[in-house]
Amino acid sequence: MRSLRLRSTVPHILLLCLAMSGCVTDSKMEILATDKSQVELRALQTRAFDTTNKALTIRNVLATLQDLGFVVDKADEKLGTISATKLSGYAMRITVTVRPRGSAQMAVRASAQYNLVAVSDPQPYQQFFAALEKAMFLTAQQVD
Amino acid sequence: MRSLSLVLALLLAACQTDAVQQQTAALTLAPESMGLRQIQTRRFDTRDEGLILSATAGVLQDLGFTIEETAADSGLIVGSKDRAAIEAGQVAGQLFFAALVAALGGTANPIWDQTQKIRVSIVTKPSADNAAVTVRVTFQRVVWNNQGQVAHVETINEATLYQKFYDKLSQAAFLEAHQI
Repeated sequence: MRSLRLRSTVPHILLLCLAMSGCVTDSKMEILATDKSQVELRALQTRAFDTTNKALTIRNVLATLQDLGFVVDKADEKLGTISATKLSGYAMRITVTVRPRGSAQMAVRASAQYNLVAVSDPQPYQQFFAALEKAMFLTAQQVD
Repeated sequence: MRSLSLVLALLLAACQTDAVQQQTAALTLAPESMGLRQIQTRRFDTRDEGLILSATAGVLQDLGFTIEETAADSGLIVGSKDRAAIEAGQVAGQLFFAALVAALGGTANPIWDQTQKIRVSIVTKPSADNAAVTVRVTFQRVVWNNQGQVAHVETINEATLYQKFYDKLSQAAFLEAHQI
């Protein structure tokens, strides 16, 4: 009876091991791992705004992050980078970059991690840019 | 066993959609965000943003924070401090529970909040008409238990705490802090 049960269990365990080995072969692979292509990620993380005022854009990003419950960790006006953390039972870290795009626009890119995973779905970023639009009084335009 | 695999697969799928929902919620403006903005923000009638920034740095030092980062052009100051997080009630409760379990012949591992890192970030901004400076401060903390594990992470939302902070800031800046 016991050997019978064992016989039916072993293949399942083997299968599980195989399935898991598909996921994690070497945790060093995480260093350069991404869930989506670079092009896809850039598209869903970036929006363009019709303004040339970088300083104001940075300040609006700071205000939006605070509205979303983030504590701002760092900001650099020259590079246009802002990093922030939200702690609410989870830890979300976000970096937002602001840089000129052409001669009439600023490109804003956000990239986030949620606990131990990269945020790579479009919906969270749509929400972020919806909030930023309100602070900017400008439409967030998709960039290709 | 097959049904178990199915349940496992379903659970994993549920985890996946949950993760996207949680991430989306984390970046969505909550209805209460306007209320929080009011709690965390005050307006000072001055054009001198530098004065407000240095008064803020002074208050942070008064409160024992270490300043970690400043970006004056963006009106940002970030600080943190490490403190004890032991609450007598919690420790007493845990010890009582452990004693009870021990009396019944078991072993319990009493766990209580031990240390915390408090983080603060302050962002100043000239008002649209340039006649005033608005200040917004946010506090967060990470609490570790006596086993060295993260017990909880949270943003501080208590209005009284922010009120007390602004009382100190208005004293330091010799300016009244107005509600927005």
